[in-house]
Amino acid sequence: MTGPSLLALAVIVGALVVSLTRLALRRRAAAAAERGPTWRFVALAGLQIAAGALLWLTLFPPQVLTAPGRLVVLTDGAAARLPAAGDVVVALPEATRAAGAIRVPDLATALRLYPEPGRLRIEGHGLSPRDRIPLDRTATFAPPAPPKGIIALALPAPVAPGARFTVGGEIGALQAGVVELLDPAGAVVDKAEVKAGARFSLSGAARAAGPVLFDLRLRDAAGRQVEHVEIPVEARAPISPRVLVLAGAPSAETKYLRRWAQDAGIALNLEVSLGGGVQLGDAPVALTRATLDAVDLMVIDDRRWEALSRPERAAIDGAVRGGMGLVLRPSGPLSDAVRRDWASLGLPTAETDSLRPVRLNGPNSDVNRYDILPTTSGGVQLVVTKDGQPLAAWRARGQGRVALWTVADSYALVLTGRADRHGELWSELVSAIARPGEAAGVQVEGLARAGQRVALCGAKERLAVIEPDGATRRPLVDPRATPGSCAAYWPASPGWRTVVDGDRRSALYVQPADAAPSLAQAQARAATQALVETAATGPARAARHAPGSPWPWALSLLAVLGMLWWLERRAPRR
Amino acid sequence: MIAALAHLPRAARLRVVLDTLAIGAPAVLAGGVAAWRVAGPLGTLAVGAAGLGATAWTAWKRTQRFDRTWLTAALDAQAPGLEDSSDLLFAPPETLTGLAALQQARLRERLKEAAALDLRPAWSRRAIAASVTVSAIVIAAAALWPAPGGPGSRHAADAPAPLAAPHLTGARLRITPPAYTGQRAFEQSSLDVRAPAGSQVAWSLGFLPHPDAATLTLPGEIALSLRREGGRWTGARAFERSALYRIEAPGLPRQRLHRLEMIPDTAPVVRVVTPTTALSFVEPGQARWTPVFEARDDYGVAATATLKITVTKGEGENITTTERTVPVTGQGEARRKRFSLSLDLAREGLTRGGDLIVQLIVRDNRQPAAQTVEGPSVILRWPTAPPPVDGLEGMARKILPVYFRSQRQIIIDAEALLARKARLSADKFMDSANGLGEDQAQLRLRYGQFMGEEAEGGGGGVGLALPTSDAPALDLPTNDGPAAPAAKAETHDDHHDHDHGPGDGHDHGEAEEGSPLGDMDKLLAQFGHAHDTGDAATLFSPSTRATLAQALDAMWDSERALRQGQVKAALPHANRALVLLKTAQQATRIYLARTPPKLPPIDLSRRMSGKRDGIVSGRLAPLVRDPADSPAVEAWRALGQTGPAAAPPNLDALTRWVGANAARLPDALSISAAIDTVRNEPQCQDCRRKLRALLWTALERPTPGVQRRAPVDPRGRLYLDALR
Repeated sequence: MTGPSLLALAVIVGALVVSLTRLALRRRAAAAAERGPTWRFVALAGLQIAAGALLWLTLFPPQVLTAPGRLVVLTDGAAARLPAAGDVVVALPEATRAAGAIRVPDLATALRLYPEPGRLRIEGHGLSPRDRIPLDRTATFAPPAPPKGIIALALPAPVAPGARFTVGGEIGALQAGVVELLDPAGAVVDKAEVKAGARFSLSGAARAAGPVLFDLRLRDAAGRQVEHVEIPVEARAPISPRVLVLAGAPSAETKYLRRWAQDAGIALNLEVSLGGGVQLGDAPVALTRATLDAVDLMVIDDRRWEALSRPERAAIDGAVRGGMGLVLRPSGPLSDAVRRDWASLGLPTAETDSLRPVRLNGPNSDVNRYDILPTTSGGVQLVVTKDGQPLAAWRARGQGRVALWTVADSYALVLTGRADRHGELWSELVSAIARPGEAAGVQVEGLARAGQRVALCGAKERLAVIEPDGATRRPLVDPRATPGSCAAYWPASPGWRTVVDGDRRSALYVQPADAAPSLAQAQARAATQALVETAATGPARAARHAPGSPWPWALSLLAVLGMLWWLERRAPRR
Repeated sequence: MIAALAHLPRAARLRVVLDTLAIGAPAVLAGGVAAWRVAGPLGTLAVGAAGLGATAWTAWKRTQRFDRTWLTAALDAQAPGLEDSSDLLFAPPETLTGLAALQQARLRERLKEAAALDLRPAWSRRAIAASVTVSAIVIAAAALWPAPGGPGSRHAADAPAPLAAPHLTGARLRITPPAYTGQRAFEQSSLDVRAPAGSQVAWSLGFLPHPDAATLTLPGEIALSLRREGGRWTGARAFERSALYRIEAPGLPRQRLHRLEMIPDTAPVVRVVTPTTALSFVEPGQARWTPVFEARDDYGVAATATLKITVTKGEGENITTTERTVPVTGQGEARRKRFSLSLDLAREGLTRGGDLIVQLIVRDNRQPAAQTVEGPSVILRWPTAPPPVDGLEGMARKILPVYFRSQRQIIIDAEALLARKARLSADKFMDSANGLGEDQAQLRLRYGQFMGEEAEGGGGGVGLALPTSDAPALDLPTNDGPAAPAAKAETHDDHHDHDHGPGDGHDHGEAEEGSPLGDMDKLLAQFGHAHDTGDAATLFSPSTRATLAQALDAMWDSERALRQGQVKAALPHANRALVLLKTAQQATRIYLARTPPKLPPIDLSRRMSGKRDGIVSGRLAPLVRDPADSPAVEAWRALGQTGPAAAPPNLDALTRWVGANAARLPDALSISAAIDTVRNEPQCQDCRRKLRALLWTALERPTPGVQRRAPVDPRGRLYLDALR
C-alpha cells in the first residue's frame, strides 16, 4: 500500500469511528420514545460502514483479472479500427489514420509500455527501419493489399562512359503496364512490357563521365503513370585494362576487336599466328608467368590454343589463378583436345557445333553464335540477350575468371551500322572477366533516402561527404561493421553528394523521402515478415491483473449515501 | 370603445421596433464590415443575417410588453380624467352593475381625451448614440487596419510607382506566311514563333511606362527597332531562317531570348506510280507507253512539269542517245499532282535493243525561286531479237557454245587411258584412243584457223560438224546443257580461273554467220581474249606464228598416234604441243600496270633477320570525335554541380561549339537560347537543368569503355583460392 492510500484509509476509518460513536451516543442520550426502532439504528450504522468501504473502493478500485489481450501496432497504411476486448492499440508515427489509438514514438517504447499483452499484431505495410528490432513476444503481421508499383530495384553499378548499364526490378500488383527508362533529356531509351510480379531489365548508356539521373517510369495499361523512380548513374573515367589477343588466323573479328579497343582507349596487343612461326600483328609477347602478370585479359581462339606448348599453358593457368581474365573464343568446330582442355578449365562445351543466329536487341543486331554453351553447369551466364540467351559464360579459377565466348561474328554488328552494340558486347565481356581494377569506392546498399540512415560501407580512411550546399560532413567509420568499415550518414535533403574516401571520390544520390513508395512498402513488409517469423515465442500468458474501474463503486457509494440521507431525514415517529 | 384606443399600443409597438432598429442597424453594419475584412463576403453575409435576426427577435420581444395591462396602467398614469378606472373601459357593459356601470358611462365621455394621449415610449437616445459611435469606430478600424501582408503591400501592388522601370505588359504577334503557301495570317500572344520560312512577323508590344525606344535584337543579325504607334510599339520583318531574338528597351530588365523557328519549304517528292519497276520491257505488240508520276509538296506543285525523254539506239559500245524534253501538265490538287504522258514508241524512235528512259522534273510553287527536283527515271527496254529459228517456233533450242578438250585435258585423258589399258579390251582401248585423236584434231583445227589454215572436210568431216555457235548445225544439237563453259576458254589459259558464264564480260559473239576463216578479229573475239587493241596486236608477230605452227605440227603428230591407238607414242607430241601453246600464249600476253597498294620500301637490313625491334603497329585512323574534349561535356559536367563550390560553365566555349556543330545538333536554336538564359540568370536552377538536358541530346555517345570489376576482400580471396 502506498502513502496516499494509507492516509485515505486512516481518514476513512477515523471518520467512520467518529460517526458511529456519535450515532451510538446520540441514541443513548435520546429519550426512549425518541430513540426510534432498533432496525433504523442498525441500518444507519451498517450504511455508514458501507459508505466508508465504498469510498475507499472508489478511490482505490481493486485490480481485476482480464483475458490476455493483444498489443496492436498500427504502422503506415493501417486502417483505424475499434480495439477488441483486451487489446491495446498503439500507433507509430507513420500511421496516419489512427483515431483512438495511443500514439507512441517507436515500437520499442510500445513494447516497454505494454508488457502485458502476450501477443503482438502489426497492421499496415510494416515497420520502418527505426522499428526493426527483435520482437519479444509472439507476433502476427496483417499487411493490406500489396503495393502496385516497383517493389524491387537493382541500381546500376558505376559504368565507363559510353558503356551500357542495366536497371533491374520487379513489379508489384499492377496487372499490366509498361516500364520505361528515360534519359536526362526526357527521351525514352528503353522500355519493356510488364505484368504483375514480372521482373524487368532495362538498359541505357551514359554519354559522359559524371553523375547523371535517369528516370524509371511505370505506366499502367491505360498509359497513366503509376510511379517513377530516379535512377542515379555514375559514369567514371575508367582505368583501361591491358588486353592480349591471340588468334590462330587473321579474321574480321580480331580486326574489329582492335578497332573497338583503340576507340575505347584499351591497350590491346593482337598476335595472329599463321603457323610455321609466321606471326602477324603486334610484337609477340612471350607467354611466361611474368609477362602474363602484366596482362589483364587474354582472348585466345581454339586454333591458337592448340598450338600452345605445355609450359605456355601452365603459365596461362598460373596467371589466371593470379587474377588474369581468360576469354576462350571458338573460331570453328572444336577439336576433341580443345574440348578436353577447356572442360578442364571448368567450361565444358556442348557437342553441337552448329552456328545459330541470335538477335541481340532491335533491328540490325543479328549475330551468329556457336551453340556450345551447355544448358547446365556451364558457369555464370554473361551478356544475356533481350530474350534471355547467354552469349558467354564464366567460371572463377583462383583469383581470375575464365569465360567462354560464343559469338562468331560480332564484327557483323559494325558492318550493319551497330558499332555501339559491338562495343557494348565486348565492354560487358571485358568488364566482367578482366583482372580486378581498383576498389569501387564507398558502397551504399539500396536507395538512400532523405531523412533515413545510410550506411556507407567499404570506407578506407576518414570519410567526408560533400553536401549539395557545399558543406562537408565527416561521418565516423566503424571498422568492425559489416560488410566492411561502414559509416552511418543521415542525409537531410535529397540531391547529389560526393563521398570522399582518401583519394577516391564517388557520387551518392539521395532520393526524396517519399520516393519509390512501393519499394519502401515492399521492403517494410519483407523486413517485418522476417521479424515476425523470428519473434520470440513464449507460452501464452495467463490472465493479468488490471486496474479496475472506479465508476461502479462510485455509483454504489452514491446509492448508499442517498439511502443514508433518506434515513437520516426521516424523522423517527413520535 | 376599444377601437378608439387601439391605435395607442400600435403606435407604441412601432416606436419600439424603430428604436430597436436604430440601435441594431449600425451594429449590424459594423459587424458586416469587420467580417468582410476578416472572412470576406461570406463572413459579411453570415454576420449580417445573424445580426438582423437578433435585432428582429429583440424588437418582437420588446413589442410583447404593450398589451391591455400596459394600456390600462398607462392610461391610469397619463390620463387623470379616467380616474384610475381605465380597467372599466374594457369591461363588457352588460357585466357591470350599479356604480361600476355608472363610472364606465362617465369614462366613455372622456374617451376622446384619453385617445389623444401620446403613450409611445421615448427614443432611447443614449443607446442609439452609443451604437452609432461604436459602429463608426469599428467600421473605420476595419477599413484602415493594415493588411496581414505587411504595411503598404497592397498599396504598392495596386499602383506601380511612377518612376519604376518599364516592363512588358502585352504582346501581339501577327504572322503572315508567304502568299504562295496559301496559309492564312494568324495572331498570337506568345513571343515564340513557329511559321513557314519567309513569313512576315509583325510585333506589337505594350510597355508600362513607355520607354524611350525599343528594339528587337537578333544575335548575329541587324536589330529591328520598333516604332511607337499610339500606345503600342510595332515593327515587322520577314524571316527566311530560324533565329533568336530579344526585346530590348532602355531600362527594361534583360529579357530571355525567344525563338523564331522558320520551317523551310521542303522540296517536292516524285514517285513513280506506273510502271511499278524501274525497268520494264516492251510487250509484243506494244505501241504506246504511259508512265505515270505523282509529285507531292508541302505547299503546292507547279502545274506544269518537264518530262525528259532519252532514247538509246544501238548495242554494245555503239550506243547513241537522243534526248528531248516535253512539258507535262499535272492533274489533281495543288499539293499532290499526277503527271502522265502517253508516248508513241515508234514516234519516239525506239527500236529493238534500245531503251526509252523518262524522268520527270517538277518544281514547287516556292517564291521567289522554285525548287526543282528530278525524279527517278524509269526505263522501257526493247530486248534484242532472239536468234532466227525459222520454222521451229516453240521448239528452238539455245545454240550451245562449242566444247572440245583442251590440250592439257587430252594429255590427262591419254595418261588415264594408258593407266586403264590393262583392264580394257583392245577394241575399247582403240575406240577411246581414236576419240582422243578426234579431240586432238578439233583442237588442231581451231588453232589452225588462227594460222589461216583451210578447214578440213568442209563441214562434213569427222568431228567438225559440231553444233557450234558460229556455224549452227541444227541437225545435231548437243544435249549437254549450258554447264561447263570453261572448256571454251582453254585457248586462253588452262589454269586461268575465269568463269565464262553466258553473261560475263567477254562477248563471244554468238550468231555469227559464214566462215570464220580469215576474219581474225572475229575469231579472236570468239575464242581468245582480245586483251589488246587491234593496232597493238601481238598475235600476228612472226615468232608467235612460228611457235603456233610448231604447236600445230606437234598436235598433228599427236593426233596421228592417237588415231592409231599408240597412246604412249602420242604423249610426247601432245606435251610438246602444250608447251608450245603456253609459249605462244605468254608471248601474246600483255601485262598492264594496275594501281597497287603503296607498300613501304623493304628494309633490307632487317629482312629475314626476325628482328621486330622498333616496329609498332600503326594506330587506326580515328572514326569518332573524341567527346571528352568537347566543351559540351565540360559544360554538362559543370552544370551538374550545385552549391557554392560549383564551377561556372564555360558558356563562351559552349557557344562556339554550338556554332561549329549547329548542323549536327538536333536543336541548336534551343541550346543557344538556353545558354543565353543561363548566362543572364546564373541563379536560375531550372534554366541550368534545362540546358543540361538539352546538352545531353547534343552529346555523342563515346565508344563503350570498360569498367573493371572491383577486387574481392581478403575473405573472398581466401574463398576463391580454396575453390577447386
